[in-house]
Amino acid sequence: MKKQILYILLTIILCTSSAVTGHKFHAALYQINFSSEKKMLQITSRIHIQDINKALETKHKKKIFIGDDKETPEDVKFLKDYLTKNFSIKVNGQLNPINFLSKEIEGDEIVCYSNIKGVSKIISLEIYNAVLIDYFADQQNRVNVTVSGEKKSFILTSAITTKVIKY
Amino acid sequence: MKNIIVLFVLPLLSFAQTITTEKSTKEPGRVDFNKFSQMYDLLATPNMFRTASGAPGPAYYQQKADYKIDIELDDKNSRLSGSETITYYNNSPDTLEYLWVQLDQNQAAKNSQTPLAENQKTQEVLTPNSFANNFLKKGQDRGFNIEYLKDSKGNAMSYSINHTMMRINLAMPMKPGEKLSFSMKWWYNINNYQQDGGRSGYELFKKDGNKLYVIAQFYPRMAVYNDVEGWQNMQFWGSGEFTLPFGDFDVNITVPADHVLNATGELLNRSEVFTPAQVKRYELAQKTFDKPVVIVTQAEAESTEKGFSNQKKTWKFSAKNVRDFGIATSRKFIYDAMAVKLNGKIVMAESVYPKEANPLWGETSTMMVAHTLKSYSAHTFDYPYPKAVSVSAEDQGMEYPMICWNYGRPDENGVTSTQIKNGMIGVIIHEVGHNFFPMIVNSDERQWTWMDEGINTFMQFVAQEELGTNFPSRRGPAKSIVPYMSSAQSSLEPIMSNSESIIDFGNNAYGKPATGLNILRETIMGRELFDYAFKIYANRWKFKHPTPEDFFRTMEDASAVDLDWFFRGWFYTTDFVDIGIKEVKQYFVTETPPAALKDSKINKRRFGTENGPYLYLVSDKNAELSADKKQPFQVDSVKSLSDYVAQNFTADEKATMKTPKFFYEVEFNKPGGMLMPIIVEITFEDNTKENFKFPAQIWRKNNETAKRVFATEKVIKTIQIDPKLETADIDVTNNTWPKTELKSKFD
Repeated sequence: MKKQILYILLTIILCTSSAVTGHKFHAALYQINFSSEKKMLQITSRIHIQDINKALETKHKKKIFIGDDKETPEDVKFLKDYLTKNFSIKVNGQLNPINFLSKEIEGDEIVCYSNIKGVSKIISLEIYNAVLIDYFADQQNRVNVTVSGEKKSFILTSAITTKVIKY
Repeated sequence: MKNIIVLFVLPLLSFAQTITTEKSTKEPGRVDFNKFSQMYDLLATPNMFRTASGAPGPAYYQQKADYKIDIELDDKNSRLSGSETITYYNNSPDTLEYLWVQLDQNQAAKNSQTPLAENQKTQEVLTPNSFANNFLKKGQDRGFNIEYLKDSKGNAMSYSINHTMMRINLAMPMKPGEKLSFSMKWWYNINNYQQDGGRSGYELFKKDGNKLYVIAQFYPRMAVYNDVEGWQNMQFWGSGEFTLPFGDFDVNITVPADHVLNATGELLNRSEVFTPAQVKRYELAQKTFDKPVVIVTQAEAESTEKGFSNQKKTWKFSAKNVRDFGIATSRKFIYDAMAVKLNGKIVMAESVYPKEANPLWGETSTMMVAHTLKSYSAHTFDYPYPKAVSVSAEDQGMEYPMICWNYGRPDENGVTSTQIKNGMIGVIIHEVGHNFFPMIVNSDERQWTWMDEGINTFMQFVAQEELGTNFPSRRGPAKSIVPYMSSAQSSLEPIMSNSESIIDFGNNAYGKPATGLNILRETIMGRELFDYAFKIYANRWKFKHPTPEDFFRTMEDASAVDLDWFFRGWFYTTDFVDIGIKEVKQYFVTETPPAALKDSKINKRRFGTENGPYLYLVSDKNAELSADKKQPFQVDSVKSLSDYVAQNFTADEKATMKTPKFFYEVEFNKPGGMLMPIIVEITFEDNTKENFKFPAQIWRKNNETAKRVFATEKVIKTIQIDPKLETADIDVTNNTWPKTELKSKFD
């Protein structure tokens, strides 16, 4: 237990560092679209592969190879579990499960596709996104939401990890 | 003559009358807001310093600052102290009452304004450590401690420090053409950059207790004074980087005797700091062009890092015409180098790295430095400095003349994932590439991040493509910027935003400008026109201080491509690209007029009307057109036309006559504000394809919609806009006809 706390501390120390470092940015982009036709929230997450591997390695204290030839089913499970824990959406006040559908590599990013089914109308969305925020103090998670053609964008950071939008 | 004038004026008069009689309310006038409007409202008036062509003008000047610096590193206490003599040349036509010197280390001083300008929020859950850091710990003080400032006679000079800027109050104003020498002595505590942040500092290796120093912004540096900004007078807040004049540097660096060091400039005393065997290896590297030669071996580094020398050694460097100076030093360094030939000139590609970076670094780093020098030189100018060094510094990516810090190391078993290797290759190309932009083409980083980061990211993309390894480039391809450009407008900002105000640095200062240049090169101008103009820009402004306008003007002036609409839209606004197909109508040719066209006459301008017979193109949507009339067109089946051809076409014209059978009118719309060429791919029934590209000028009189008629020999099956995703169109659902359901990742 003690060891774990020390580990968390270390990562926090590390975090503060990357904030000011020259050219490395820690940024990800999440696109959430509402398809009224399919009664579905469609979520596309674009996350830097190196960053997510680093975070999962710190968490699980072992090498993680997401996006690499050496990627294991366990790596993918860790990724899914981590996303489930750190990214959630309350639709109309209700926490709905997010289904992970597939993933692919684009450049140095991993693109994950997931959805929330059975959504017929949206009155409010509460989006919680703390992905990588524990690991990089400068992490910026850009969230773009499109509901019935109306776009809303915001950036979630260590200072703000939750955003409520009402329709 | 008189008659003709009357003819022209009369219709105008009658037109004017109709307007006044029909409109009851009076509309206000407006300014020109056409997206092709030329950029006179945005660009400064050209002058003798900077010309309308984008080149330096006849009165262009630039200041010079020469430095003689002696510094000493106290490795035990991580402290750096130094003294310098600056000789400043006032080449401007202005008299200077004061000089500004930049004290960038003061951004980490006790009284720094940077943390005070940050927004804070109470964190409700936090660890004891972060609580202690936030609320209990006394802030660290790593600012400059200035011990003295003296003139050339040794008399103290008056100065005043405004945080990161130091004003030297001159007793006598400096006249044009004068030079002035003065000396300073200072020290500061070096930061552990992994703990405290920063573009320089040291990395601590806990296993052996050694530090790897990457040292920069370590001396008081002259600010730029020029025709655009006067003195560079903006504080260093942390994001907007540096703006520095060129000069010659003589730097003596004293470090523990067991350190291996590399820095900006040529090493003057190689035989004093390396063993004879190492000097021999360096000489071999100077003649080796295919792979790096190891000069300080891993075995040597591993044996050195076990000790800690109390002896000192002084490394002497000389650098000509550089804007800055950087140093890397550690007793852990392995050192390799190879020679690179650029148009007959030989420069050295070098790397220093600890054993923890191997085998990746030994295999990759110097080879990438060499590739970058070749690729960038081919697109700009031959790399003018004698060497370029890549330093392994974890969590860093930072550039200085001839030397840069780069992240990316294998794990403790020496294994490197593909992602880390690609990240490391990308950062080395990027940081070595910064030698060209902004170390040589010396833009004002404090004002415009995109001018160095955006242009350099574009060049990095080109260099990565030229690796020929299908390198996975994130920034550059048009489609990669789409997720960002799809954001709500309130969260976007124009590229032309000051460095300190950019919210989304990676996308807006790196990605979007790099993508814009790539679109110009591949889609709007073409490689030949773009590459020529880009090379002209680089050559005009190497060793000078260009502004965004100098870039915009040069790209147009050297290519004869009007790009005002592009720069206005892509750089000065947040407009996004979205071009769609609004409607497609098929037309059939007949001699029978439909009801609506029965009485229409074709005007012969002012010479009355054309006598019939007429041909009619009738839309498939017109109910009068019976099914049997919807036949492929043939000249012979339209009598008046075949008569016309028989009578008027020469034998040669008849032989080469086009044979269209189907006619389609396509209306394009533009939900996005940004203009782009319309790129159309038509697929016919037999799956053959034909491609069209309509220049952006198709929108010049109507920024909203455009129409084209396609006369084809085969039935069109589908029409697709931007099939190769080269315009950053954010919504491709309206890019096809007939509308097809795109395959979704969500079904």
